[in-house]
Amino acid sequence: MDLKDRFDQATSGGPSHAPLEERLHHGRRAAGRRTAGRALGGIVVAATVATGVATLSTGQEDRATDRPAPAVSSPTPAPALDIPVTASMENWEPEEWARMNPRTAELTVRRGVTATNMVDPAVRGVVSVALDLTRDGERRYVLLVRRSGIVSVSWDAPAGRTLREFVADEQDPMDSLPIATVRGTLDASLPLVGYRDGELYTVGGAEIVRVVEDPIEGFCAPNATAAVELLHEGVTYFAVLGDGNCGSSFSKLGDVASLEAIVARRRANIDWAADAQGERQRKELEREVAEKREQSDRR
Amino acid sequence: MARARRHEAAFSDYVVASQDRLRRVAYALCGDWHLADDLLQEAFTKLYLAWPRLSADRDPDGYVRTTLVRTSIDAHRRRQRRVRTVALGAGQDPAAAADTPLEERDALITALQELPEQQRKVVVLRHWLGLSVRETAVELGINEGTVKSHSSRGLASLERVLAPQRHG
Repeated sequence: MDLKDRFDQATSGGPSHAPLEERLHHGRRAAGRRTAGRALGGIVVAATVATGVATLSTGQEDRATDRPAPAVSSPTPAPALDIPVTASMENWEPEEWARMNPRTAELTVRRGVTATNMVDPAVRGVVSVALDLTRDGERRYVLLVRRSGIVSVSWDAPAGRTLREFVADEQDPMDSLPIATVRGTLDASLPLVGYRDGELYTVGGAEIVRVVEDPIEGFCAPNATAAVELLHEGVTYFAVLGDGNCGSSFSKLGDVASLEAIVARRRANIDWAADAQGERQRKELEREVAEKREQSDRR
Repeated sequence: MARARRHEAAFSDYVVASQDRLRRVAYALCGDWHLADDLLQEAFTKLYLAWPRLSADRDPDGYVRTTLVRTSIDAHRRRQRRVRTVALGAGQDPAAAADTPLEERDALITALQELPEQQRKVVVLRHWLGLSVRETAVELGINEGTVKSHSSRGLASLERVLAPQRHG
């Protein structure tokens, strides 16, 4: 067998590929970062168009701000919310329809944009708002969330969904995002459940049904870990996660049978990886021993 | 908008068709399936950004391959801190993996990882993907003489590791 054949054989197999949507999501997010960075200079940290995320940072302290719900005005042709309109057209990214001031949480929409519905807060425990916006006949849902002085913005077409369904989709745990669970940062949140400062945290509307602490021996040690069953808008979800940089697993009822099943799958993955690593180490050790024996024989 | 959708549709088709063979290249270069996935994702992200500018005669495979081999893999491995979200059913498949004995699967890859990074890349490009000395030099941004020396040293090192197995 020649070297090419050996390469072909040695590189066959491997785990399944990431879902296509995940591949696309990374690209969209990077594209958005580039677009927003061009438009807003040093203020913007990251952004994506379509279903992506944009963040604005001021470096200000995150202070909870009570915002009165905007009054409804101009009932024709559709009830419009009285959200201040930014007079200037300058500094608006072409795809940017609404803003939240990272410091004051004040909302503004650009000229020509009409807001007809709002969910406030959109994410429980966080300064956040979801808006139903129309501009030049085009309708779009926008979600703005402020955490630690950073406002993230995502938007998408309604596509037959309610505004609340859009918010849920934006926090869908099934999107396979590689979400960091870094201890002590607010970015540690997972779509529905995550560790923050050592405590499990859920987004608005998600109810924890059951928690199994430290479900897999040694997983993510010495950090706290949990297998969690949640109920969100009538759907049961499962998660295995840790309060550290260890990776997390998510699924929902139907894709996996039970909380125990997702734990078993996760355990199998960990065991397989450990076996492969152990085998590799064993071979390295054998090779070292063989080399030393060879050197000894030569002497 | 319509043009962006067309770009994304074409990009999606390309990803689905190419991700397997390109990840194999990444795996050969780094010796770890998860890191290979990360490297490939980074390359795909760069390709996504470049896709609208990619001329019709530019081979996307070449673009991704160049991105992969110009990544400092060893540095990437050291600083790798990204959490991997393991999608159910998308993780390691113990049954499938067991089809090929681990020793056979890993011998070449393990030996390859022991080569200096640049030697490793030259061996993969020259002796697996079949690039010429000149093409390899262009791909890696080094001169042809360096490609030749890396190639001969890399092969010699692999031979020392692999030969006993073949005769054993």
